[in-house]
Amino acid sequence: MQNVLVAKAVKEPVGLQRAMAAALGEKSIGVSTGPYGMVAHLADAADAGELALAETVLNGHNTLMVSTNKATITADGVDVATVTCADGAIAADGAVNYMVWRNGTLYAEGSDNVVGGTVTLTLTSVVTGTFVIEVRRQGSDYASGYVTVEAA
Amino acid sequence: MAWTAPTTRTTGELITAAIWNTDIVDNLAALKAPPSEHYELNEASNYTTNSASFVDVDAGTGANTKLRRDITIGGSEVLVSFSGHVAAAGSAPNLAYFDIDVDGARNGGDDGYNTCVANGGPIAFTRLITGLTPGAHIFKLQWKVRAAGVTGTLYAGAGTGSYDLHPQFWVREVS
Repeated sequence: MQNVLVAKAVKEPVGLQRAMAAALGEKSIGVSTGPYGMVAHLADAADAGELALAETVLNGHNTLMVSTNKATITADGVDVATVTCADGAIAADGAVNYMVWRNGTLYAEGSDNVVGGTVTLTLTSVVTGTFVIEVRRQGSDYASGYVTVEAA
Repeated sequence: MAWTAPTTRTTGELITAAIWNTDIVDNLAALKAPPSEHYELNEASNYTTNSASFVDVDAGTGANTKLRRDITIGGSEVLVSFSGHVAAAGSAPNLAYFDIDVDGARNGGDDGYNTCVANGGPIAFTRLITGLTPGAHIFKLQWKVRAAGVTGTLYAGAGTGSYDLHPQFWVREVS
């Protein structure tokens, strides 16, 4: 096993696990996090390029500024949370990918255009739960951001 | 103060101050304070992993870094103990496993010492590790999960609601 460690505080470790698995496939054994930062565990067969990619994913994790105008919405299908990503890293991007997780399970996903350096998503729900909205850059310069909305 | 194997004395043999101090005083001191290291977690964040192969719970480096304990022993047996609270979330059966790495080799082998399931609970074990040689040794807490779809969380006093819990890890020479 080879380890790539980045000493940086971690938010949304499960999102990081998903990102690493998506980037490295079977070469990724897993991701661990803790007070020391985060470490990607890679197979012995991973080459230098894959080790570098793992470090890119670790460094890009949770670096996009994603915000919501409401931390809690009513689960009535009417109340709306507006989620915004306005980050210099996506200013020149045409679009970003997004995924919405409800209680740890994928709820919705897609892509949205970047307009004037900003992506705006809306969330309504008729079911209660904890929704984590993940915004991720497309292409090789991996970067992601997260915000949480409670539907009650 | 290191342990010195005492010499068997015979009738009429003069017990000098040096002999007394070595055999009695120094050895009592060694028994009172054997090589020992411990750490209580009170961290800024909890630990997580989704590795299905055993990895160090704490990836920090250097001697006596949190869940790595370093001691130099004069004998061959060490007690190792851990207590904490662990959750294992994700695809069923969601299991997290624990073992101790001694000088680069896992002591339990296979799936380690013990496991927790589902929303988890207390993990606590004490192990007698034998067959060590006198000298420096490194003990590290390791863990894994059943599959990459499972996330293990060790609560580390990081302020998590209802789970602001403080695990302890210690090693002590006993013989």
